[in-house]
Amino acid sequence: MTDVAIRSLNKTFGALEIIPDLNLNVPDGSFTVLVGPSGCGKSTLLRMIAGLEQPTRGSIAIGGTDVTYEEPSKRGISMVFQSYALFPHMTVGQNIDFGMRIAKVPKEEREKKVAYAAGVLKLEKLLDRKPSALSGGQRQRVAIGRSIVRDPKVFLFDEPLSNLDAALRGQMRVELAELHQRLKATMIYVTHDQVEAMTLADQIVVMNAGRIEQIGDPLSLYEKPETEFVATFIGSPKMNLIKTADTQAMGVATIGIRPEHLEVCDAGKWSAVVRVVEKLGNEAIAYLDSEVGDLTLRLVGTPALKPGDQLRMSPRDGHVHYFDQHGRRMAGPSS
Amino acid sequence: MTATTDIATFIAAKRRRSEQRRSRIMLTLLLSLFLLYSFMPLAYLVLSATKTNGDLFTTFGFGFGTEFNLWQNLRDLLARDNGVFMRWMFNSLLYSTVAGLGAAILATAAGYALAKFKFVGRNLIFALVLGAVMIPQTALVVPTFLLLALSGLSDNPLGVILPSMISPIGVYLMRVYMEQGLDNELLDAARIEGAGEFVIFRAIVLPLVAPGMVTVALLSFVGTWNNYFLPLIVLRSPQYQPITVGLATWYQLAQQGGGGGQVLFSIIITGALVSIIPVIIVFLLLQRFWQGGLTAGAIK
Ligand SMILES: Nc1ncnc2c1ncn2[C@@H]1O[C@H](COP(=O)(O)OP(=O)(O)OP(=O)(O)O)[C@@H](O)[C@H]1O
Ligand SMILES: [Mg+2]
Repeated sequence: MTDVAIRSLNKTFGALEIIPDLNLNVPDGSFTVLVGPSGCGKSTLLRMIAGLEQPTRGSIAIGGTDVTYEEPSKRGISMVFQSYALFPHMTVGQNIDFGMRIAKVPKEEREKKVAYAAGVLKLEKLLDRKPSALSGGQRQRVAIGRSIVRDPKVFLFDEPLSNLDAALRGQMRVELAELHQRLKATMIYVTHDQVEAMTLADQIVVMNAGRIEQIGDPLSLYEKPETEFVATFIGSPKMNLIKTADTQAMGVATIGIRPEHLEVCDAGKWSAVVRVVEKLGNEAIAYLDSEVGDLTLRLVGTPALKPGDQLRMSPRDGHVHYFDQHGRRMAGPSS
Repeated sequence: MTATTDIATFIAAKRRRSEQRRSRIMLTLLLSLFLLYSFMPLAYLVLSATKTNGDLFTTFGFGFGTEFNLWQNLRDLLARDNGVFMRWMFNSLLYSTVAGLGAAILATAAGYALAKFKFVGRNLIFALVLGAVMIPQTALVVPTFLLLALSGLSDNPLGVILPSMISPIGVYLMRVYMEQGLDNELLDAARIEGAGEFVIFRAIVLPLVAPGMVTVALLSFVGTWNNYFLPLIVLRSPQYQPITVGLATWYQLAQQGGGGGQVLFSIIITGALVSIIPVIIVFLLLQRFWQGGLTAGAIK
């Protein structure tokens, strides 16, 4: 059992409280993704799990053992950094080998492990190169290779793909998913790319200003966001938030409708004018000025819409989210 | 567009180009002047070292003398006072090498601590280092001497070497260099791999900051090689004297004119020429460390 249990964790930098009080369970073998806006404390949390940063209060247990004050290397974790953090003066092989050399692992075993990692990550031909002679994707593979050979019980990733271009990011995403299936280790992954979060995670943790907004599997976050923040953070384009007098009269502060859940029809509830249309081939995103504020509309295929067009639309039944004045989810209009 | 605007832009472009050319010529001229200014003393030294003592005072300073006397001067230099010149060279080389290495290691360690660790008094210490950069070493010689006298290190080579290993400008350089050139995530990665702080310093930090270290070593080497006042005050025994102090004693002797002193001038000049050779060699040897540039540690 190598779950990670975080209890009443607090982190303060000087007078600045970054994480007020955080509790989190990461189940054994799960792929847990931390998402949230920039500066919300994702990296700080990950670095505390790694032991690179000391919590101000609270405790962290890995596999049932309290490691709050343990050295990073003795926690059974490994970490892959955004900047790859490869040692520039060492070859790929030496980079992967580094930790084992320090731990005085016998040479044969080291060679075996380096060969295994190189095989898994397709690095065999690159072992004698310096990191400066590698592409971004190759560097990231080396960084992952370096963490595999440690046989960690928990893998930590801090935005590992954010320096890669879109195509490579997609490819590496698949490779990471395969790696997780193969190793079956617990993985904690920080990103602010929600496609990564939705596709990789079996548990997403949405953070905001050092607090956890919601924890859940990708689909439940998408279908039942507990707060307005989660509702707008998960999903692209963003969910439409509508505040009107009649909803407020019903005791609902805000209603939320995802762009794909708006239906264009002549008898629609709201009228709007098209401002911009983005046609992507398989779908189109239209940005509208409506009587209830700015709206985003997602349509399948290539609809014949152009800027200036007038249209009417209504939300699809059963796809409306209701939030109270604190931004919390509520069942529906009370009356 | 009309033809007139075309012509106007053409003329403007041409004027711009000729302005660029003029400023380039000015720059080249300025640099040439500077080069001349820097090379003149060297040329004087080289030419004078080829002259006999008589020619030294009777022929034009930037021309050759009536005969080419360099080899004889060298022989006289090495023979003078039972070959004490080589002893001075050896002393200078020893002091400068040890001081250069020591300064590089100390400045790197101190700069690393100041750049990458948070501790109480860090800013105060750095402010003191910065302050020390402003104080000329010469101003510290007398207090240093008193300190050395108290610790029994006067007339001891260590009295010259130890103070020369302290390089405030080196500490400053290394701190700034490491703050910018040494990625924190690299150190964190090494910690996760299980490297202790000492291993990180030796296996990660030192190789990556080698260009900076070489710079500090070189600055201290040259500084110690050229230092005159400190060894003059600290060292009394002739066998400890470095080249600067040694040549100066000969010079005094020559000026007094006693003991065949007059003949000494050409020997001193030749000695001065020989004494800059090690500095040039050290520069050439260490040059390759800069070729990677000061960001050799970064991969991006
Ligand atoms: N060593 C530090 N000293 C002071 N403040 C810090 C320190 N490290 C982080 N912070 C602050 O803590 C907050 C959270 O930082 P953190 O790096 O955890 O954010 P993040 O969620 O990872 O953001 P991003 O998505 O941009 O990486 C930020 O406001 C940051 O300025
Ligand atoms: Mg971060």
